[in-house]
Amino acid sequence: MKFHSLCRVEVGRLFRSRVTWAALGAAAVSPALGFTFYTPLSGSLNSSYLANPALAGSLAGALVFALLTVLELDRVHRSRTDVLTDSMISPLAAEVSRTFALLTAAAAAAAMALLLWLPSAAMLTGVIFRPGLYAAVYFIVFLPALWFAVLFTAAAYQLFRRLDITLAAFAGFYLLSLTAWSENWLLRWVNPAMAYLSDDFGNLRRLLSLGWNRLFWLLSLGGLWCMCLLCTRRYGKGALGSLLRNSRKIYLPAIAAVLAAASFLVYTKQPFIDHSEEIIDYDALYDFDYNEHVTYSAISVDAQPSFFPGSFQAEAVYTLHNDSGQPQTISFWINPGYTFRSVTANGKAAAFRDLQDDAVNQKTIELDLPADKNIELVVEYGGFPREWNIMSLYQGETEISHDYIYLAHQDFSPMPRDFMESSGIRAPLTARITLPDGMRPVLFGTGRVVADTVGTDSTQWVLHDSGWSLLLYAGDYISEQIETAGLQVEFFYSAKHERIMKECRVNETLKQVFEYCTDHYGPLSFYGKDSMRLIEIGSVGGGYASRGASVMGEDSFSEAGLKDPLKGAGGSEVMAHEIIHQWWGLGNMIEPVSEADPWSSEGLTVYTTYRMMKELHGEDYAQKYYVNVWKANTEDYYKDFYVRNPQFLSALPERYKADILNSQSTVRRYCEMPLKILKAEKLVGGEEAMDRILSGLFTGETNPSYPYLTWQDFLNACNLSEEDLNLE
Amino acid sequence: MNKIYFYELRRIIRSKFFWGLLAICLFFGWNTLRTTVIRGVAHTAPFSPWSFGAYTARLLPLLSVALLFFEWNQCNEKSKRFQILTDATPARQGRYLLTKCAAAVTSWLLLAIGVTALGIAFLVALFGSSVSVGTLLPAAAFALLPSLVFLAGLGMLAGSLHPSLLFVLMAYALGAGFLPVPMSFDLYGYSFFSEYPLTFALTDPAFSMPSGMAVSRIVFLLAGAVFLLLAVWRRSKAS
Repeated sequence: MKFHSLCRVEVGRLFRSRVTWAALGAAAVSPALGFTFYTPLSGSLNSSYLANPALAGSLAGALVFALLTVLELDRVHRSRTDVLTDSMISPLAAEVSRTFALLTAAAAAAAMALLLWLPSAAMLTGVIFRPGLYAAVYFIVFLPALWFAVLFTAAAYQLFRRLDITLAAFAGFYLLSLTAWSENWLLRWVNPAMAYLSDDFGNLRRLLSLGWNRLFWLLSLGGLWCMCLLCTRRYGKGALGSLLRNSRKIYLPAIAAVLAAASFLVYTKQPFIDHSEEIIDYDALYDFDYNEHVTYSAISVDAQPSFFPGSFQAEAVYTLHNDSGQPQTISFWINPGYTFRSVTANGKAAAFRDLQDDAVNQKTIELDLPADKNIELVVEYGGFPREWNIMSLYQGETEISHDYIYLAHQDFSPMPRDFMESSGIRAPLTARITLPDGMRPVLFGTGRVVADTVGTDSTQWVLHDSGWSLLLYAGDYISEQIETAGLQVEFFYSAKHERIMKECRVNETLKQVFEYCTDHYGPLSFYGKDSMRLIEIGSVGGGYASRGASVMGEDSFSEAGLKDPLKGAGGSEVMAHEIIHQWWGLGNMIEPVSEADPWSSEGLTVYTTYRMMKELHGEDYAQKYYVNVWKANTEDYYKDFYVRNPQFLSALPERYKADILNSQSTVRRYCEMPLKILKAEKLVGGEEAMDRILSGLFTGETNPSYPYLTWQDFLNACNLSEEDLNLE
Repeated sequence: MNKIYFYELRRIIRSKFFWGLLAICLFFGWNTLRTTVIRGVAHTAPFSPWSFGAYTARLLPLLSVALLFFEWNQCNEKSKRFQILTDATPARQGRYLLTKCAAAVTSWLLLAIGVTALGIAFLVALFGSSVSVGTLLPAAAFALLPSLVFLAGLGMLAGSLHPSLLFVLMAYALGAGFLPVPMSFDLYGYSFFSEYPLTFALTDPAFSMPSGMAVSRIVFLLAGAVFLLLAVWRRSKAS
């Protein structure tokens, strides 16, 4: 019998079995668990009604198909019909055809699930439903999980030829993905790392990472399966004897070796995550000598994003000045996924070196400059932007697709590392980028965008910004101008959110925040402008603010969050928190000494949010949703074993120590510090007195040589010592 | 019966299956130690009885599946074919079943001792003389024994009804470790180890047990014993 006939017969036989149909039905129905029992994601409709069912289906479907596989493979041996079949067809061909039939059944189960859950997904997600995304999630998350269960179980069965051992091995493999491998995005085969699915913007980057995870496992398990296929019992021999006998078909071990090598390469050469050190060496990062002879006066970038697969190519031109009369060496920071293709200085090739020193999602590239006084440095660079490895489970922020672009700092252009602007003012940074129709660029900060050339289905935009880098967002943005507290606030959000924004009167919240903060602390004159920009971006979990702009994840504007008055410190209050960062800015005004330092912009921002909510909703509300939450978390922190016994922490290996310290810093910044400020408020004489102090700190002159508000500055302004603010 | 016990025990321990399971349990245990236990449970030290109990409870789903596999080996269709022969012997079938169960339980205990030893070695390597091994063992025993007796009894009963039921039990044994149930209903006691210490006003409470929890453990033990007796009664009646 020819192989394809054998496969056809085996598929037909499998689909005539009631057990198979029971398995297909169970697997197809299993996404229902994602609506009720297993809901790891939230914050968007796609997360709740598309990702959760697919993930739950993967978990349950993999179990179902592992069981089906082992029962099907064991059937011929259990019934002893293998004695007959082995005399007619090659045992190897029989095993391959059985596995092929099972993989076909898994594909059928995925197709059934796809069709079964399509109406509910479309209904629940409404206008943001995208059939392509829906199908992609099921085919990248759900189907491969079933295939991997089949391949692993088939491989284990071929190796052990025991139903019990095979199931035990599968249980171990399954549990590893849920537990020991849960922190490794590439190893999570049954519960792939998907932190979020955007409603308003793109998901290409997230899907590519998931696809890479699936490719790795497909190759690994394919290789394992091929290798174990060699153990298919022949001539009454055991596993080893059969392996030696089957190895005469040299193509099988060769395929297994190729697949194993390919999976190794896929694992080690993954292009999505950088190789930054786990422990951040701040001294090495920021404490280095500047080149005092080289300065720059302008940067221009010609950007050419590739919307699939989301890579970026560009040419950057730096106007440099070298006052030494000698050749100089300067360096840039760039995204670790990018490479410099060529560098010319005044038309002549310049030598450059990639130091491959990944740290905080950037790497250093050194280059040699000639002795010329004025230099036009042209750098051609590009690649696939990698994300920071500490965020490997939350990939998808940096995206280049037809739906969304997010490129920040070193993702957009090489940032001058050890040389500065030639004058006191920020040097102009001009960029050109061509975007498809319907996509509008928005710059973080005060930069402007101008539509330059309009093509048939695309527009070339000119971005006018300043400084050493820019942050670019592009999507189906629409904008509104809001005038409040003497400021022109330009608010950019996705066109898909227009209805919710209008219904929830988001403008009112914005006005309240601006009026409260301006009234209590002073206007945003710190930035030297009378305008600011608010931007909705395609991520979840807060946002960031600086240079007259504040960005917020789209979950801040989720319908449920904005309309739920009982949600407390969520939804619109997250939005308020992020806008308040304009006053207590991230990085601009307050800088923590280290990762573990509790003094950061978060303390004052959380405190201000609390005060505003107290004014808006009353004391009880603020106590319940703010102070009580801080107290509970801070009490937990003080009870932590390593906090009470620091000698044990210092005795731990560095890796464990870093994990523990990082996990503590969030509580210290968001809960312990607001409580200390609240205590300071009581000690200085109440809210009005604290408002005067904070207003003074905000509007007053800080140390020009170190323009940051320090913890000591705050203590001095309150006329308190650190010990006064110790919490009981 | 001693000979049968040792024969059954040898049959399990000499199998590749046992050593494979031991390797899986040790690997899983090591990962649990370095990712979870190292942080300490419920604000207690990583080397507290609470943390060690939580470690043991985390491993119990896997250990329970192992126990049910051992039992499945003794009541699957292949083993049942031998039943015709054993029925013809003068041995009491109930005692014979109990002896086989004892062999499965002993094998399981060897696995449990393996992961317990790994946990102690890990903690001693990191925290040296601060680790009091004597206080860790009761916590481990408290986690291990009720679930052992309960699942051993339930497994024997299920196996005597139909061997396939053991696979349903395996699914339950795996899922029971992750279901959000009240402390007293938690078969493995993970929520007890991770939540009960938080109810004390003082930090680092000595290992103790509320009466409700003690009763629930006794109920699990008794239920396991009743299931076992039922299985023995069914077997005696059938022969």
